Amino acid sequence: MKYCPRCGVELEEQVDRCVLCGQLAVRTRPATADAAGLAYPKTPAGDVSGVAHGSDVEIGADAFARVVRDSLSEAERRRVAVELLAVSFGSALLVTVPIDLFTHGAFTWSKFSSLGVVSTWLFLSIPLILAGAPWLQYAVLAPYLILAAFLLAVFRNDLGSFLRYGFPVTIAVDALAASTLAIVAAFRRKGLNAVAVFLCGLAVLSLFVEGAIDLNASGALSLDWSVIVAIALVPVAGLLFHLHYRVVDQASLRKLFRL
Amino acid sequence: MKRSAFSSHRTERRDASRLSDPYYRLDNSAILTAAIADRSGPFVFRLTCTLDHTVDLGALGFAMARLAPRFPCLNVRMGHGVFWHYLDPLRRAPVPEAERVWPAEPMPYRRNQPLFRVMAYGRRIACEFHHAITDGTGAMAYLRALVCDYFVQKGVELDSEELTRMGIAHADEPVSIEECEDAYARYFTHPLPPPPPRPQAFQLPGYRRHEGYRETVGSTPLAAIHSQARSRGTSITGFIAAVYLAALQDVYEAMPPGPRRRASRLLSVQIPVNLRTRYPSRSVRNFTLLASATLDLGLGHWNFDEILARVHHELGLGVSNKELARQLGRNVAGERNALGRPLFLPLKSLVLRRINAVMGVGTYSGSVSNLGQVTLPEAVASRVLSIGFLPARSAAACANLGVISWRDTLYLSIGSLAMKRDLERLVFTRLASLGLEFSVACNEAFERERP
Repeated sequence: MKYCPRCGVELEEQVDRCVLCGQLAVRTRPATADAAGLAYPKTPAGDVSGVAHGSDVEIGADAFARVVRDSLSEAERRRVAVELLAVSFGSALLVTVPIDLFTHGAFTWSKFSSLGVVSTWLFLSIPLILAGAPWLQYAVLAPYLILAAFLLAVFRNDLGSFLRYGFPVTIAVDALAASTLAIVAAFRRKGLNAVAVFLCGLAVLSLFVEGAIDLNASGALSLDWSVIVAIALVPVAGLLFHLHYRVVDQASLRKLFRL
Repeated sequence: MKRSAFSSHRTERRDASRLSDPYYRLDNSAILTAAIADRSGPFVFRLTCTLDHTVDLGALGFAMARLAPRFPCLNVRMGHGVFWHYLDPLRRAPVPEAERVWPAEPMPYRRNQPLFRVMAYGRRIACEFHHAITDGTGAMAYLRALVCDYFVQKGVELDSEELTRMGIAHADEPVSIEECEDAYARYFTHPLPPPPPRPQAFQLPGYRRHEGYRETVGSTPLAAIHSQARSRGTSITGFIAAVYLAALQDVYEAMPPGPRRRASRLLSVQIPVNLRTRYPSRSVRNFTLLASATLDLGLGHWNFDEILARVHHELGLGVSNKELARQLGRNVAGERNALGRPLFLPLKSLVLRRINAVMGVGTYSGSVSNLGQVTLPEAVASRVLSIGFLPARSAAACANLGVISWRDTLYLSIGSLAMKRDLERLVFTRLASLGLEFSVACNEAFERERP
């Protein structure tokens, strides 16, 4: 039988040093082996803190995942939010459209405000209605974005601007949203790293938007403001990646920003 | 039906199994302790179990590994969010550590470091817990399960049905949802009128030590102290709280006139109340509120019978459902305050420290915490020599009392950061003068104290 002279515990036969304090194991039973009551070691365990590290027993995530939380379920909270949004935005429509009809006898400015109200409602409600299915949300909102740009051009009787600016920019927004979603979906822990990817996407988008404007307006590419935006955003994204992977232990936004 | 702060809990539950990164919110008590814990008040308490043989490190480590999935809400580390702390589950099981030179040392929040530690020394297994994860009852649930599983590894046959009957968790049973619940949130429904503000209380005079923690333990036959308390018409907890108050009164009266005039004349002892006995919960997290016993020395000298009567009645009032309900209402409503919630965590910690200084630690002279009788299956109990409980350090309250009963012995521990041992001496001499035979031991040898 082997013992640790400092900790007084029994050790396994194959070890040469105590796994607790790093002292050399001994075969003769030390006085500390009978330590009890209020006896404490005279010295600290020594600089062997690396000796006792975690075992290889993995703990299932579902054990703690069923903890009682709040009174309303997530689905109920979402339903309430969707109802509130529908009532608020519906009220806006019910006010603006009749006023326009009453004062002008036709749809004039209310076409634009209605498009804005409906678009905002959709972009706020669809993530709540289709929660947990990001690609479904994308399948609804991405085509709608192009449709909204098209309707805007139709309302202004300016289909040319849609083809020159609206269409390429909305396609770029959709494509970048798809790439950002795909990258974020691949992350095991979605925290500040997701924000960083979003910022990088924003930097690329600004370059594309300025490119589209330059080519259509002057026929030549001369990037200026978008480069400044990218130079500002990319280091911030880098800092967020650093924070996520090195500082806050890959904590999710849900944990970090819980109110 | 009339609503009550302790009415039945709402049954809607959010299924967290979808979360890619699950975590625990801190319970109401843990929010405060996590924010204010520091070297002078680390909120780390200690339970010990002395065996009839030298601890087998392999068996202990194996038992801990088996029990880690069984106690998921204990095997967590402290995480810092933007607005709140949170508890992050650890994927690796904890392992035994070397005993430290002093008990109940601070437990800094480290990455991948659980908020409890199990230490082996000779024949003793010691578990130290941060109050952010559990209270005495939850910690005792873990220690009982650990000791039983340790003996299973050593070849002792234990019937799992018997363990379940005795309320001892074992590795082969599934985790209950209720064990990880925030019971404060479960039983809080709406705010109530808060308890009246408490004045600042007398604090033990003298210098505090910056290193170490003196642990003085007295043991006495349980039957003797039980009959003594019963004959005086009170409980063991009430009896010991009265002894503590009497000792504090002796300290106050022995002070020189100048400091005595400046000191508060209100003696106040806080007594944690285990709410599980009143509001059904199997939570192994915190579920405790505080009752208090007070003496106003402005009214003159109190004899022991007067102190006993006052403590008994005050405790009776303090643990009534309505008193506890409004204490819970104040605490949880404070946590849910719309102005407080969006405060950034460092700022929130500052505010909580201030609140604790004014409404918390400053209003108590000390505490008496009784974990009650510990039971284990006979095959294990016959090989366990003693069980110990040491309350957490506190520089302000200075000396705290912990009480625990094992088989036919009661252990009374005094954990103190005071340089002088006056309070320990006064407590045990008072008990001796009441006819109770205490065998007293201390973790540090007596050295002549400076005047």
